[in-house]
Order: sequence, then C-alpha cells, then structure tokens
Amino acid sequence: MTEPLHDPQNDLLSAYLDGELEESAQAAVVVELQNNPQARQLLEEMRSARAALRTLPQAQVPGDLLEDIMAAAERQALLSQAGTTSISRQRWSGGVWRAAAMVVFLVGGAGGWVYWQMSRQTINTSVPYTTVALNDSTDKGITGETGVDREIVGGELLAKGGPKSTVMPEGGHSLSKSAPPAPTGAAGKSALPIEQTEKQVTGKEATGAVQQQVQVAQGPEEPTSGRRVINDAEDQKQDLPFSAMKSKPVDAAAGSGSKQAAAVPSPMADQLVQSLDKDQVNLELLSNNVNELTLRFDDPEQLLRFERDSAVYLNDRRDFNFSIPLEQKSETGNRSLILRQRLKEPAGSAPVNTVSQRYLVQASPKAIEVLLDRYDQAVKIYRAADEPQVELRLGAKQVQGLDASRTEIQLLNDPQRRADVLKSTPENSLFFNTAPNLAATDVEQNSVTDWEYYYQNLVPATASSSGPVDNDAAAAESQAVQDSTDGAPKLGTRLEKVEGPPKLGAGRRYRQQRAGEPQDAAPRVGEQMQQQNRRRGVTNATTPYSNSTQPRWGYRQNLPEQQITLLLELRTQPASPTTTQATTQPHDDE
Amino acid sequence: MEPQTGDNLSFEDAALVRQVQQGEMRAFEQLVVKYQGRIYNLCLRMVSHAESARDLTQDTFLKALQAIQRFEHKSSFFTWLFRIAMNLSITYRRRSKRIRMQSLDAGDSSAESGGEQAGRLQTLVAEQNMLAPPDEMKRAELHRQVMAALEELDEDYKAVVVLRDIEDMDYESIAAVLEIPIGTVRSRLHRGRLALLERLKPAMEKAG
Repeated sequence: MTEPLHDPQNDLLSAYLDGELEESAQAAVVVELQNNPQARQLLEEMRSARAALRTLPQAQVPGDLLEDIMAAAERQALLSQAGTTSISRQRWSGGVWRAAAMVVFLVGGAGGWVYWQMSRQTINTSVPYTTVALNDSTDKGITGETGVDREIVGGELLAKGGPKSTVMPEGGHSLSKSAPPAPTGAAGKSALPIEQTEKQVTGKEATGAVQQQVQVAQGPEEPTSGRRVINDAEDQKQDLPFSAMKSKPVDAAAGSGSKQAAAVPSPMADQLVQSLDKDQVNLELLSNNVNELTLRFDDPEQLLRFERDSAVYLNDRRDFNFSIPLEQKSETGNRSLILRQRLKEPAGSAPVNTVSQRYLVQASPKAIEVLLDRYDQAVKIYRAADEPQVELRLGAKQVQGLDASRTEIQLLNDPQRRADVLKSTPENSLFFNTAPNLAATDVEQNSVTDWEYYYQNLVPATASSSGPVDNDAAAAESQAVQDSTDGAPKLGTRLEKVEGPPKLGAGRRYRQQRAGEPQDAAPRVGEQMQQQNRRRGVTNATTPYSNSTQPRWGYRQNLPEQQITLLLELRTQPASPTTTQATTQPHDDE
Repeated sequence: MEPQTGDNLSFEDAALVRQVQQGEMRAFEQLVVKYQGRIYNLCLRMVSHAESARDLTQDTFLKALQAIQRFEHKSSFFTWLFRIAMNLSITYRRRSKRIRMQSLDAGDSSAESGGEQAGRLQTLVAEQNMLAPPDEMKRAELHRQVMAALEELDEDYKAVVVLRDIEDMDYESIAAVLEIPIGTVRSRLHRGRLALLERLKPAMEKAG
C-alpha cells in the first residue's frame, strides 16, 4: 500500500467500511487506522455519510402505480400481439399491393397496347358511316412490298411497318385504280380530290405517283351499322390495283348534323375545322385519329369546298389523311360520299415514283351529282344510271398472280395476259388499268411520276362508245381499248376535252366566286398537265404518256350499262436531273 | 437489506419469471408488487423527482415484461430488474442534464438542477415548519442536504453509492447490476463517498 488510507486514491478505507476486503487487507487497514488519525477521521465521516444516506426515508409507492403498470403491461401485450399480426398483415398486404400494382401495370400496359393496336386498326367505330382508311398499301399492291402506314404524332408523320386496319362498310363497292410500281417509300406530294388533283398533278407535283380510287356505292334504304374491320394486311392484298374495296353507307338520319367537334381532338383536325369554319362550312366532325379525319357535310357543295380547301390545307401540311363521308337522302336511297386522301411525305424524304395515295369517293346520288357536276361527263352518266347496284369489286383474284404493278402492267400490256385476267374477273366486277403503253424500261427507271384521273363513262360491252368523246384521239383510245379488251367497255373520254364547271383544283377561284369576285377560267386537265410539263421542262417526247392519246384500257363485265368509272392516266417522266429538280419545285399552279 | 441473498427468494422469483414467460400476467403482477417499492425508490434516489421516478418505475417493469422472454436466469431477476431501472435512470439523468446544460447555455438563469430545486423546496418546507420538533427539523435538513449532495454526484458515482449505501447491495451485486468490475465498483464507491462527504460536511457538522 503506497498511499495512506486517507489518500483519495486509496479506496481500501471504503472497502474496509463495507467489509469487502479480504482478511489480510482488512488486518492491514486496521493496523494503519490505529496509526493514522486522519484515516480514522475519514472513516468516521464516511460512516456518518453512509448512515445519513441510509436514514433517507423510503418513499411510498404511489397507490395507483401497480394498476398503471399492469394496465400498461396488458396494453403492451395486446399491442405486441397486434403488432405481430399487423406486421404480418403489412407484409402480406405489402406483397399483395405490390402484386396488385404489378397486375395493374401489366394489365394497363396490355390494355394500352391493345388500345394502341386497335386505334391503329380501326377507325372510330362510333361514326355512323364507314370510313375507309387509305393506306400506303398501294406500295404493296403494286410492288408486292409491304405498305408503310404512317401515323401523325405531334404533327409529325411516323412511318410504321405494321399493317393498318380500317373499318369498312359491309356493302357498297368501289372502283380502284392503282398506280404504277413504287419501289419504296412515298414521294407523291398530293393526291387531290377530283379537280384539285388535276391541279396538283399538273401544276404542282412532278414527283411521285398518285394512286386514286373512286368508290361509288349505294347504300341500303335502311341504315345499317354493320361494319367490319379489315386489316390492312388483308386489305393490302385486296387493295392491289384491282382489289375490291367495299363500303356501305349507313344511317342517313345520323348523317344530318350540324357542325360538331368530335370527342377526339387533334390539333390538325381542329385547325382544319377552324379553317372550314371560316368558310361557314356546316359539318360534323365524326371521327379523328392520327391518320384520319372523318367529317360529315350537310351540303354537298360544302363537301366540294372542303374537298378543295382541305386538299390545299392538307397539302400544306402533308402527311395527313382524312375522309369525308357525305350522306344525303335521295329518292333512291342513301349514298355517301367518302373522300379519302392520304398525303405523303414531302418529296425530298421519299423516293420518287412511289405510289402514295388513293382516293375514294362514296357519294350519295345528290352528292355525286353535285360532285360530278364538275365533271359533266360523269355526272351525266351517273344520272343516267338507274340506281345501279354497283359492284365494283376490283377483285384481288385478278392480280393475285401479280406481285408488282410493273409486272402487272407488263402483263396487262400483253393482250393475252389481259384476256386471261379478264376471264378470271368475277362477274359484276370492274377493273381498270392504265398506261397500256408503259414500257418496262420506264418502270425500271422509276420514271413514273404522276397519275391523273378523271371520270369516264362506261358503256356496255356490246354498246358502242356512247361517252361524250370530245376529240378524235379519245375516241380512238376508246376504240382501241374496246378492241384490245375484246368486248371491254370503251374508256377514255378525257375530261380535258370536256368543258365543265371549275375544276376542284380551282379552290381559290371557288372562294373568289363565293365572295362575288369573278371566277378565273380554270384550265382543263390536259392543259394543266401540259402547263405543268412545260414548267417542269418536260416535253411530250420525254413524257410519252403525259399527253398520250394512247388508249387506256379497262374492263367491265356484266355491269349496268352506265356507271361512273374512273380513268387514270399514267404520266411518266424520265429520271433525269431535270426531273429531280422538278420534284422539289414548289407548287405554283395558280 | 439483502434483497437477493436468500435462495428461496431467487427460486421464487425464477418461478414467477417462468410463469410470466408462459404468459401468466398474474405472475408478472406478483413481481411488480414485490419489487415496485424498491424500484421506485431506486429511481427516486437516482432522479430526485417523484413523478419521473414513477414513470421510470413503470418503464422498468414494462421493459422487463417486454424482454422477459429473453431472460435466461443467469442472474437473479432482482439484479436484472435493477439493471434495467438503473440504466433507465442513468439515461434519464444524462438526458436531463443535457437539457439543463442547454438551458444554461441559453441563458436561462432560472435553470436549476433537480437536486437544487428539491433542496430549496425542502428548505422552504423546513422554514415554514417552524413548529416542528428540533430533531425532526435537523433530520429534515440533513435529508435535504443529503439529497442535494447525492443529486450533485456524477451518475456513475451516484449509482454505486445508491446501490451500496441506500440499497445495501454488496459489490458483486452492484457490479452485476451496473455490469462493471468489482474493482471499479470499489473505486467509484470510494470516490463517490468522498465527493458526497465534501458536500455533506457542513450539514453534518451543523447537525452535530
């Protein structure tokens, strides 16, 4: 022991006080205590302090402490059990929620995918009319390649590789014309309705081919809501140059409507409607999706205006597809006029000569009358028609063996091949083809640029050419066609020979007319084409078909004597630097 | 007092604990009845505040009940229960001291330790109890000073002093409760007593 007992560092004194020392240590402490008074004093003080501490009274336990403790204990026990259950439940419910969230996510994703697919495949089924979506299946129809559907997203056209389905009416018929081969892509700028197309074709576009389709249909007396969805994959097969396009007008009563915006807004559609609204067009927006706009007009005149204006409008924006159902009650039934147009990508973004557009018309008698009044030849024919049950099935059967329009054209240019095709043509079917003189080389050079179309009467095979042929060349064409097709109807009355109301291409003039301004003289189709060719620097020599008087040929089998039909005139343009430049020239036909 | 020296007592506690472990709340209640007074006084000596001592006592038993399934009888239940109470009390005191220090740092001139408050209250009571017998007055004064001195001790010293001088626990038990070596118990006890003497000398001399 180095320190004395009273040293603070020496704790033996406390241990001695508490009796916690071993005997030897205790004896040593006793000896030192005897010799160290300070240690003895400290020991006494410590003993006194301990005594003081021990004198502290014991506090009484609060009377309700036991109850509180037991109550708290029971509560704790219950909470513990509940906590275990709660934890288990939380874990279980957490898993369930996660699983539910996963299911919702999957279902939502699947639903979204299905909805997306359906939105691509169907046109708004709430539309009482059937609108036949046009697609680029003409590419496939001609070339055998898969057509490219496009989707406008945020004003931009997106190319999609998948087929597109459209709602097709169950009834009705169509007459389609197909364009020449289209290697890839789309270049045609515009396929304009009727006269507008003329305007566009002849004055605006020198690039790309235009495939247009005219559909004349008569609907049933009673409205029908029947629809069927045609997948474009199938439709593309059927939409081969001579494939059938069926439509059936529905619900005339529902067709009369005032302007009413559809529930599916689209910036472009809204702009379009607003644009039409400026002209006080009474229409109803029936459906609208990214690819198609369906409108209903009360007045066929308005339709024409819309057709014209929208063509201009849409051409300004490109890549917009719309359909215009027109339904109007007539004495003989309901017919609908459906104008469809798909505008393609700008010329610079797609190869030239790609068939890109189609044009469908399903019109009521009155609408067609009004429409075709612009083309007096056709309207006369139509008027003469005794409400024919038009069966314009451009059967795929005819072209099943034709994997490409170029081949088709070549084959059909072969009289024997044409005869075979005609033999295989179903009764009450009609198909047309044009450009009988199109050389294979022209096609190979991708020189086909434009299509021009106009209505033509169709006469019975046994009948003589009764169409209002206005020039000898056209008569010669018709005769040639009739001869070459072995009884096929004569075609080829060219509208350029027909004096008539302003062409649809004269949209601006139409507006001027409405405003009371004098109407400009609308150039006739041929004149426009020639003007356009002159602007392009294309001569007849380089474009043998632009002013060709060569007969187009068509075929009609067991059809009513008079029908509205469509004649396409294929224009070709050699792939030359001049042509290339022409493809990018702005439209300046007015 | 020797709370856990008897084998019968430890055996009895062990039996109750086993019953509690089997879900017998009545056994737990018996344990509470048996030790609530000592736990309460222990906490009261440690925190010098009745209400806090009450809460600490309740928390002690609740913690014991919560952890009783893990009690393996390696020590006596009493030691185990005291350990819980002492830990809670020490934690409480340290937390309270931090709060007080923060209050002082904040310039709270009225901040006083619990012991000082208790001492002043006892002083006030003593001064107002002028009619009390002189011996009781001296005893009360002594108690106040002892409580004040005890309150000023460091927690480690105070715990050892309380367990030894008030609860009369031997070193080994103190070491078991505080989970410190016996040598540490002895040194802490010695230093705690010296510190306590330092504070109690005037009162003890006065009390004579």
